[in-house]
Amino acid sequence: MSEMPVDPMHDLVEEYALGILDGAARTEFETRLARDPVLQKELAATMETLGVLAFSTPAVPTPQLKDRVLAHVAMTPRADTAVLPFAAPVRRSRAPLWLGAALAASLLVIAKLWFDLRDAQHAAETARVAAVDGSRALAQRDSVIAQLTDPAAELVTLAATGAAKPVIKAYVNRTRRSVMLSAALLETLPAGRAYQLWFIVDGKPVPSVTFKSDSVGHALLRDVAMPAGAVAAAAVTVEPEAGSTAPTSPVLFLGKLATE
Amino acid sequence: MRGEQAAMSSFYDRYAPVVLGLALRITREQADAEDVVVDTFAQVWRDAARFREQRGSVSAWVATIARSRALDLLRSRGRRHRLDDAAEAEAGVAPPAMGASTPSPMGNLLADERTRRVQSAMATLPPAQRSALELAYFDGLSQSEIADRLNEPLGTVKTRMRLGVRRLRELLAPLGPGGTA
Repeated sequence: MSEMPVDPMHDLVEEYALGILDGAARTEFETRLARDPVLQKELAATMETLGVLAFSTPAVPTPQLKDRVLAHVAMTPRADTAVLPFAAPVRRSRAPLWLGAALAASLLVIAKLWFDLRDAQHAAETARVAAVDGSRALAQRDSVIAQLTDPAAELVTLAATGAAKPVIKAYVNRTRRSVMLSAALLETLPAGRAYQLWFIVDGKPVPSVTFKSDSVGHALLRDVAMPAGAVAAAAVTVEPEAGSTAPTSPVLFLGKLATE
Repeated sequence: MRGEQAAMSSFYDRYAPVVLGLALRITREQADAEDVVVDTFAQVWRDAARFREQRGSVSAWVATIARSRALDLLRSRGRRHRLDDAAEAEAGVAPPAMGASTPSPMGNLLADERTRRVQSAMATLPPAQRSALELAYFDGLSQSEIADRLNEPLGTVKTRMRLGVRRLRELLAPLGPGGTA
C-alpha cells in the first residue's frame, strides 16, 4: 500500500511555494505552517528547488545596469529613517543664539554618527547575507578555480571510444600530481557498478577512483591523486562499485597526456 | 568606496545574471527585466536583516524576490503571455533569454554547471509536467488558468505540477543550496 501522507496540507506545499494558493486555503495553510516544523521543512526544500529554476536562463547584464542598481541602492530609503533621533518637534527656548547654534551643530554631528551607524549595520547585514551564501560554495569554488587556473594545468579530453556522446574532461596538474575530472551525459549504471578512472603508467593501468554520475549524467571529481611515474594516458571503464585492481571491462573513455 | 556598496557590488556580480535571466524569461522585455533587477537588489538591500539562513539559501531567497517582482510587474501591466508560449513550452523549446547566455570565465564555472544541470533536469521531466510547472513558475498562472490553457482537468494539472516539483527536488538535490554535486 502507498505511504503517502494523509495530511492534505502537504499536498498544498507546491502551490503555496509557487505563490498560487489563494483565499481560505492559503490562510489555512499558513496557520498550519506556523506550528508545523515538518511542513516548514518541506516548504523550505520546495522553495530551494524552485529557486534553482531561476538558474535555467542566465543572461548578461550591461555594465550600465550595475551602475543603475548601485545608484538606486545608495538612494533607497530605509524604513527606519522615520525614527531619527531628532525627529521629535523642537521646542523653542529662550537660550542664547550661540547655544542654539551649538546645539544645531551637535545635532548634525549626532545625525551623521547615527547615519554612519545605520550604514555600518546595514553593511554588516549585506555582508552577512553574502557571507552565508559564499561560505557554502566558497570552498568548492576555490578548489575548482585553483585547479583550473593553475598554470601547470593541462586539459585532456577523454573521448568516448564508442559511438556514445558522453565526454570526460580532465584537468591534469603534473606539478601538484592531481586531476580534476568533469563528465557529462554519462549513462546511469546499474546498482553495484561504477565508473573507474585509470592512469596508464609504463603501459600498465593503475587503478584510481570510482565514481557514479548523478541522475542527469554529470560527475565532477576534484583533487584526484595521480600515481607516481610517467602517466601517459587516462582511461575509464565500468567496474564493480568497490573498484578493481585491473580493468574487467572494455575502455569506454581514453585520453592521452602530453609526454612528461 | 563604502563597505555596504562593496558588499552589494560583489553580491550583484554573483546574482545579476540569474536575476536578469529570470526577469527576461518572465517579462520578455529587456527594459522591464532591467527594472526588475533594480527592484530586486533594492529589496535585497532593504531586507537583508530579515534574511534567515535557517529558512533557506540566499540564492533561493533572491530568486523568490526576483520572480515576485517580475510577476508583479507583469500583472500591473495586465500582460500575460499568449497561448503559443504555452505550446512552445510544451514542445520543450525554452523561450530565449534574450540576453546572451552567461559567459564562462573560470569564476563562473560552477554557475554554468548549475545552469546546465537545471536545464538537463527540466528536460528529463515529462513534457506535460514541465509545461505545467513552467506556466506556474515563469508565467505565474494559477492552476485553474493552466488547466484552461492546456485544456486539461484541474486535478490532472495539480497532480502534474506536484509530481514535477517533486521530481525536480530529486534531480536537483545534489546541487544543494548554492553548491555542486
